[in-house]
Amino acid sequence: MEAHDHLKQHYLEAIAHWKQREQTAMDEKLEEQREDEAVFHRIAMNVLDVFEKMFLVSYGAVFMQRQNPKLEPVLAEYEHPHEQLAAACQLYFDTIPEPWKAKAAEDEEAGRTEEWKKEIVKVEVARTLESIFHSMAVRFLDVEVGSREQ
Amino acid sequence: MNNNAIQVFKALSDRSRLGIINALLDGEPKYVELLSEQLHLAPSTISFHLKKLEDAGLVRRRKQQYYADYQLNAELLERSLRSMVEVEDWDRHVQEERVRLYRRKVLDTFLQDGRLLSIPVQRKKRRIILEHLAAEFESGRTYSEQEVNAILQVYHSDTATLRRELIMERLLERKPNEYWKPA
Repeated sequence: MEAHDHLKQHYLEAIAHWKQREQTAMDEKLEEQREDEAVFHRIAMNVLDVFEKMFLVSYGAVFMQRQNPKLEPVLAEYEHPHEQLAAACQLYFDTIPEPWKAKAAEDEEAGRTEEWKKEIVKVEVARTLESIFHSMAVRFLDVEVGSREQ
Repeated sequence: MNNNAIQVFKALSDRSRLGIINALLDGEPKYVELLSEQLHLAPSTISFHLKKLEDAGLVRRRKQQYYADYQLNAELLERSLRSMVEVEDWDRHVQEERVRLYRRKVLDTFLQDGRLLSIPVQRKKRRIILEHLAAEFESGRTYSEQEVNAILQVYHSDTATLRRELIMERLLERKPNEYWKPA
């Protein structure tokens, strides 16, 4: 197994375990008649699904030569596949939560607390998953990843 | 009295929100972070629940210099369940009165001197007119097509359309050349 295969295995396992924890928490909340909070766990699972798919898209573009016009400019910036994978994933970590953050700010400003909370859940899941990915990228690929926006 | 009793009941039907209400029962105003610590919920989750409780009128938000605190609306909380239900009954009467006035308006618009000026295009209005026409038929007896036409002819010359619409709206039932009003 190569380094990127180890990363793939551990990262996808981490996401799967996280989703399982969210599912368990959601079931518990429903059992305890905390239905609104149960919805937050459903939202978290959806976000994890999104980033899981984006990882597989990135992985496919780098290691399986799958065409991806959106990723091509990013991949072209790097020579090493490890750096390419890290950069592709980072692109999604940078771009996907942007509208969530913007909406959270708007909701907070307008006092739409319920909507704000849902956006916050999405942003926090994305941020935590991003840091998990960073630490795994260092561990398995020996690549330091940083936000492209910094 | 807050007449949105359903909103109150919905706000109360959540264990975390009941936890917040319990934490506020001592009458002391509390801010989000304090409730977060007491109830082991994220501050954003506490804010989420407080907004629902505030919208239902169960808690009051008081803006302080750098933060906001919350306290129970004891007046609402001490209302009896009966008083809440009575409010709902009052709501129902208001709704019924609104429907009655709307029906009256539609009938006044489309009927003149007992004649139907036109058959309404909008289904909701057409249904009101058809219900008015259906009231001309007695339950428990059958009518021939000629008898149905004679009754409808009083209102409008297009008896075929009215007859068909009454059937489609299930206000009249039919077998060949036999019509009756469903029970």
